[in-house]
Amino acid sequence: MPPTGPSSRIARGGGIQKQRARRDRDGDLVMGMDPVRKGPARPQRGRAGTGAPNARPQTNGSGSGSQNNVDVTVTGWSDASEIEKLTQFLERHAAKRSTRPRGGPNGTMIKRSRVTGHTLTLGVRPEDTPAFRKINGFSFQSAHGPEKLTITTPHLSASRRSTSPHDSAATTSESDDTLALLQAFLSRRYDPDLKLLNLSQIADDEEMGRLGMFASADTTSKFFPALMVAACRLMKTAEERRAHVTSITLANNNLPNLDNVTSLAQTFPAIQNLDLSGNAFASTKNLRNWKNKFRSLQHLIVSGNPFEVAEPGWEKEIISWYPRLRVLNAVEVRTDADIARIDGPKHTPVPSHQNIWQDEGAIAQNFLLDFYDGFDKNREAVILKYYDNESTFSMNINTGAKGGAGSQHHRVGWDDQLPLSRNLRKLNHPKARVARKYRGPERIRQAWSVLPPTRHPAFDTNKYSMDCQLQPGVPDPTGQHTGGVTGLLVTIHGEYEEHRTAKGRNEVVSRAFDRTFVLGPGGPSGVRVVSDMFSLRAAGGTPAWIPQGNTAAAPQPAIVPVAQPAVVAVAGPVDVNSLTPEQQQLVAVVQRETKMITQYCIDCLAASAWDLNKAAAMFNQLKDTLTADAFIAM
Amino acid sequence: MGDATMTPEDSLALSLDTTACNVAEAFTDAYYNALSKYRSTLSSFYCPKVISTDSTVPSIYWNGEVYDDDLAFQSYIESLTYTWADIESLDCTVLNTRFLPAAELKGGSGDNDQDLERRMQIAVVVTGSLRLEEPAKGPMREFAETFVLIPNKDKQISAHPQFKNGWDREWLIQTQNFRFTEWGVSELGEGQGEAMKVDGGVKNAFQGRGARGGPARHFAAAGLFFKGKGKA
Repeated sequence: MPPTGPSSRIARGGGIQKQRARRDRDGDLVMGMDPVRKGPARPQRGRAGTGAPNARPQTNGSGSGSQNNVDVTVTGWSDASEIEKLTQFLERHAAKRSTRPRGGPNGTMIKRSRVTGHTLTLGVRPEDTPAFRKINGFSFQSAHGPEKLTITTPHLSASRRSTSPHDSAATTSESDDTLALLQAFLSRRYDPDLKLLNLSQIADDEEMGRLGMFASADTTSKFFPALMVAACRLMKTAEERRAHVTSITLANNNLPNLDNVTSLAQTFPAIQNLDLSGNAFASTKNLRNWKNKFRSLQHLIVSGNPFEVAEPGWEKEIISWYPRLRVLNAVEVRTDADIARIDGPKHTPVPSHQNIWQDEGAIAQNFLLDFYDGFDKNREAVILKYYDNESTFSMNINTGAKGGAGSQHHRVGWDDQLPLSRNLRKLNHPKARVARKYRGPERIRQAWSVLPPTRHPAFDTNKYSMDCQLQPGVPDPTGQHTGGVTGLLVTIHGEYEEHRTAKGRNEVVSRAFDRTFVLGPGGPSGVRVVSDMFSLRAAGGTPAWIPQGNTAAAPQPAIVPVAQPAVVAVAGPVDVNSLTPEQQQLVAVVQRETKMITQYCIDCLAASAWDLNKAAAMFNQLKDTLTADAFIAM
Repeated sequence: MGDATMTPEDSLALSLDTTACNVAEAFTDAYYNALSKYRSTLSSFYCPKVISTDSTVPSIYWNGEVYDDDLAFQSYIESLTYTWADIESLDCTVLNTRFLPAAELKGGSGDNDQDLERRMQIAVVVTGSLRLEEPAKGPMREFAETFVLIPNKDKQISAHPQFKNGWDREWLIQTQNFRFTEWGVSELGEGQGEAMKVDGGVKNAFQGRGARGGPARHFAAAGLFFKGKGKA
């Protein structure tokens, strides 16, 4: 086995077995040298755990008869006059490591021997080859000093090739011969103009067929790794392979999976075009060995495989494996712009302050206004109006928020609310979890009775972030629509005040919350809460939907109104009630003239040092850049 | 799952909730891992695109932007700097036990009242921190995210999915909403964090309600009358 070289064989006994097994997995060339299938006929004696591959019973009975001796070659010795001594040495040490009883009807292990130049060729029974393999690397004490022996055991193909005329050539070069043939094959199959390696219909290749490459599953599994080794001989560096081979086709090879060809991804990781059409892949699972490989792959053809029909939607999975894939089966799946975005400079997302509100008929809007008014003042009315027997409520408390203000958060005890928390990160037992899922008015009432009185702020730009999106498939209480009806998913983030009386306190504290409502049609008001999920965090951070000056300068200005960064950077958001009466008057004037919302009026004035003329000039300069939400809706 | 002292309803609720929790945990682990490390696989977390008369799925709202489909979203995420999400709280609920029609369930009984564990639509809510730019030193914002997951009808799902080998597209994202909820401390200018605390503080929070022209005005002020704002 020349590719691994004699120097790698210094290990003895079981050691080399393990070493070989590892090389096998790496796809290195061990073609025809499978220690597993051609192991001894009887179970290994002793050495359990060291020669694991040999422990496997022999599955192939042919070729093990005494008439079918195989050749073992020995090199490394120097003096032909010591051949007899050498042969005895080999017989002695191999016999010690043999798996069959000493002596017996079969007698000696070495059936015949001959010398060709500096190579001693022994004829041994196939089942004895492991014993010789084990003494590879042994030192022979010759008259000229110790001589390290290299013992090469036969190839699988040896028996098939024993009739060929060059059998008399040194067997050590046999793998070289194979590699030379594979290299010739690769050369025949390479198109330098297209930089295409055509590995389609390999089994139909006459030369490869004659060599018996596909005579058994065993040799077939060795063929491709060997081919890759041959490729690495032709193109020694990864750089060469990248430069010379940009396209590979494995079409029409009847491959059921990638087991035999998987090493292609290691040898040619940089190819741009790959054709796997006309194989026998029954599922995308059969291709998963190559998931996330070929990071430069742009064009992939997988047509003519059974999974195309068997697994509708398979495209999505395949596309996801190759970030630069543009064309899949002649269909464009990514544009140049998409690829450019992946390969372009990375940017940091700037928190958006826009709400997206897809709410025809203002259903969610009216719900939220009514809900929060009621939740603060009369929770019972809210329950009766919006919650029915199928409505669910649960809350979870994020007691250790590390993001945002982190350790600077206002840490206020969660008191009696904590036992309500269904934070699956903290609560593991299934029954404990389901006990904290409140279904129906009665149980929701119980849960809400534990929540202290709250006051939510008015719906002002700076107080909340809210989105509303359509949510198909929510349950239809009338049962008319199987699979459900389209409802609304409403998400809202903000802070509220809590009147805290626990532990003898009497104080108002702030809590930060995130709440997700799924609304569906039904109930007395026409709107019912399908699900209400409430998340609580410590307050005290800076809401992300309020633009910040220093990050607004980041390279994503498009989603932040142009006027705002500069203004906010100077003043910071200011509440109208913290202004002096004079300032409030100025705000009123600016608002009357500009119809901007209050915060923008304040920002504009603050940035103009509360000079009305400067503020007017600034407004006139910037008004065309302001988005619609800067103005009061009429 | 059953228990002699439980009613059949409670027993079913426990079974459904247990599966939903398994789904929520396995899904979020896989999703946030992909968001950080395997962005090119993100699109495989989404249900096939379906445009119907009143809605389009998957519905992806992320940081105030609407994405047309999972591939558009994935390309956007692939353009982002380093991100690392840490889940701090997680909850889920079963929205519709019969979302997937019994006849469409692979390996199901076909009975409309059976196999609910494999047919249900699940809402998942997450809060956590998102580190940006640099693994240890980058700004760390707080975020909140909601997913609605639906069964993958092209996949044979086991009766009580345990996800011992992790997530494998058993449920897919139908609806998603992501929001940053707090700026990272390091992103705030000098003293600005303090100013915000005062502003969002106790004294003024309830003044002004109603004084600015009623609820509709408040929604208008919040920009809510401008529907369907898509990508800038």
